[in-house]
Amino acid sequence: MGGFLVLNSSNNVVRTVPSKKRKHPEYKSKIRELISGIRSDNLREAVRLPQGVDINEWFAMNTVDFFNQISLLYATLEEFCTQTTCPVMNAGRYEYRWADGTTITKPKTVSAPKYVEYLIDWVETEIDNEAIFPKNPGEPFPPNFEDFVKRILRKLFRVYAHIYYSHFHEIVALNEQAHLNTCFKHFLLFVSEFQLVDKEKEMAPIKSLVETMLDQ
Amino acid sequence: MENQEEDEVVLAKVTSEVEDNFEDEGLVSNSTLEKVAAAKKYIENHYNRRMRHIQQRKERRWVLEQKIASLDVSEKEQLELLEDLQRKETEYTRLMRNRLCVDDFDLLSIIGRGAFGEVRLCREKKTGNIYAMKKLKKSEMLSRGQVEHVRAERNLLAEVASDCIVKLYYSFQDPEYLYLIMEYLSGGDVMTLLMREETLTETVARFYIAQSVLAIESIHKHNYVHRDIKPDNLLLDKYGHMKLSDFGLCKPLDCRNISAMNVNEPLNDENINESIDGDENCSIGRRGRRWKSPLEQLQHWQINRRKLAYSTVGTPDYIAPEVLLKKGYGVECDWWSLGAIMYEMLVGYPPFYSDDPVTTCRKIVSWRTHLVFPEGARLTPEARDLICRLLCDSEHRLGSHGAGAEQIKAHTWFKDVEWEKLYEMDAAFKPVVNGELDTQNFMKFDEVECPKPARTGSGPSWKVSITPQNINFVGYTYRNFDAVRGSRHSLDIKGSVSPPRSSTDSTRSDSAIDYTKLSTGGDGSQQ
Repeated sequence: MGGFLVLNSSNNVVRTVPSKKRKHPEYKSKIRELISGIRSDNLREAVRLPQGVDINEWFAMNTVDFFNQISLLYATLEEFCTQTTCPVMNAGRYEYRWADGTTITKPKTVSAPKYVEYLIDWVETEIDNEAIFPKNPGEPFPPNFEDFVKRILRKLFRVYAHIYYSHFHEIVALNEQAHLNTCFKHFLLFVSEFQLVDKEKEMAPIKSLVETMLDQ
Repeated sequence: MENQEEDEVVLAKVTSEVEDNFEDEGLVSNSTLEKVAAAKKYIENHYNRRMRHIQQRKERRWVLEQKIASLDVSEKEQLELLEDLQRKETEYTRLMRNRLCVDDFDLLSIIGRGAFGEVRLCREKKTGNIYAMKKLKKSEMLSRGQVEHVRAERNLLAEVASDCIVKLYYSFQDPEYLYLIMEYLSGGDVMTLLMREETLTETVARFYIAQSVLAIESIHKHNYVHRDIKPDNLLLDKYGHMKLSDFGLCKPLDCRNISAMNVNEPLNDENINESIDGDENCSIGRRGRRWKSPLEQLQHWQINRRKLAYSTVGTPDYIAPEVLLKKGYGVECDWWSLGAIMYEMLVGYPPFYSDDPVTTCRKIVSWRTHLVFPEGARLTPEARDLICRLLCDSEHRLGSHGAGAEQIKAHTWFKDVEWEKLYEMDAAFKPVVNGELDTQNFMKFDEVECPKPARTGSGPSWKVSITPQNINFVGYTYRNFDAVRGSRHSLDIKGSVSPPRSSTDSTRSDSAIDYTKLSTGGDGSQQ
């Protein structure tokens, strides 16, 4: 049996009960049970481009939403995802190196919290850049806006992959797996609907989870 | 763009076993538990809102198509109307992702001040639109237990689309304050009107009371009870039409000393508690208890009226007895307030007015002995009857037991009122308003210098520490579709046609996603 957390309701403290090794990430053993309650019809409708709405505007709004969600979800794991526990940003055997194409052009190995810190700073800068994400009515998007969106969403996927692979037992202990699953399923449906993240290349680390969620 | 990231993903030479790096007795901090609570709340609110937006978008399209079908317009015009709606939908989508903050507005003159903050005129920089900005201090609301009150206000304003209710365009927050960006009603409030006019004729009073009935009815339909309806909260637009608001900034009366009051308790000095939480600038302390003539009452009321309105105590004159007694109350408490306002309009001062709030409260609780009409008051029998049937026991009050506004509208005093046309007809008084920035119908307030908050958008950010204070205000952000202005082709699509509604559209509905079904075992542990 893998390591697990017990919620001690009397004093609002969560204690960790350690085990030396886990043969596989815990999300795998309970995938079907954990995502059985998601109302797929609602989420599928939520990702469809509304009639008459500009597709870039739809990409922009959803990108901001996904960023806000993953930022808040990751923030709940900050004391578990540290330099010590996660010295390398990875999802199992897949290591993610950081590069943003401007300040850091050569991908470099960093810890998971450092990677997420870089990522959040970078995404905030992108979103706040009015040349990429215009704010005023009528201002046009850049012609290659979809490329910016793909880049952001691909990197956000990596945070989900890391959470599912390395921190799912904490998520369960904090009783927020329903919220994580809903956000991730929404994310998957959206990127699949508009083919914004390469399923084969990018989603391999948690392929079984992705397939189960999309098949539902 | 793709190439520079080719080697960002590396298949590491590690075994498939994942090291468990947990320390033996690690504890989860309160900070993490607070972040979890905030994240969950944010996500639930987000999906509720998202499902509601889908439905509302369908409705807007449906209503426009119905209107187009019923109008005799050319194909070209039909196309223009549909294109305009699509443009507005796209613009609204943009508005939804933008982080609003106080820096997006030019702050103009202050038009209201209260215990929790202020209301001021403002201009949105990017559009030039004029609004009223209500600014509420989070720490004050937390310390006074007003978090639910302000959340209810924001929800009410966001949910109720009515000509009788002040319109909310945006709500957002920064670390210190909550902001409500509302339509600016330049005609002032009914309190100012009453101070200027002293008394109103029954014809004029009927107009305002009738519009108040419609306003109260519209909030009751959404299962809200206002509890604090008073002339200060009845605002006039530039045409003189009235809308319900709460510009008084939730000034709750400190009722700690009143809750144990007994209806039969005598009104003597020993029973009157002096410790009510008064404002030091507000001279409403105890004075002599001698009987006052109606004229003295009127003069005294006029002198103290503004001081009461802007004190931290507020005025209890319009509060129903069951609210003061904390006996449990329903929507009928708002009809009592309406009765008290009607009395004041026709007599010149409220029915239970006294020098100090505690005595007023005692009079309200003992209303049977204190509700009297002065001899000089020239009220028709119908007006007296309506007042008496509103200022009475909640069991027998008009509008109670589910009878609602219809029972009040049916009263003989309203016999000539054309309810459907109330907001189309000329108002009883047309306020003097010189331009959209005119504030002459509001009291003047001095500026108080305070440090300007840093630009922090209303969207969540992991870098902003989620304090216990902020957890209480998760999900406060709001954008109204009406903030997007239509082109000249626009049709008013808030018509009488009502589209079929799906279950997800309920403004009070639970999440479209059932979170309870998604959890594992009750203790949160994984087997």
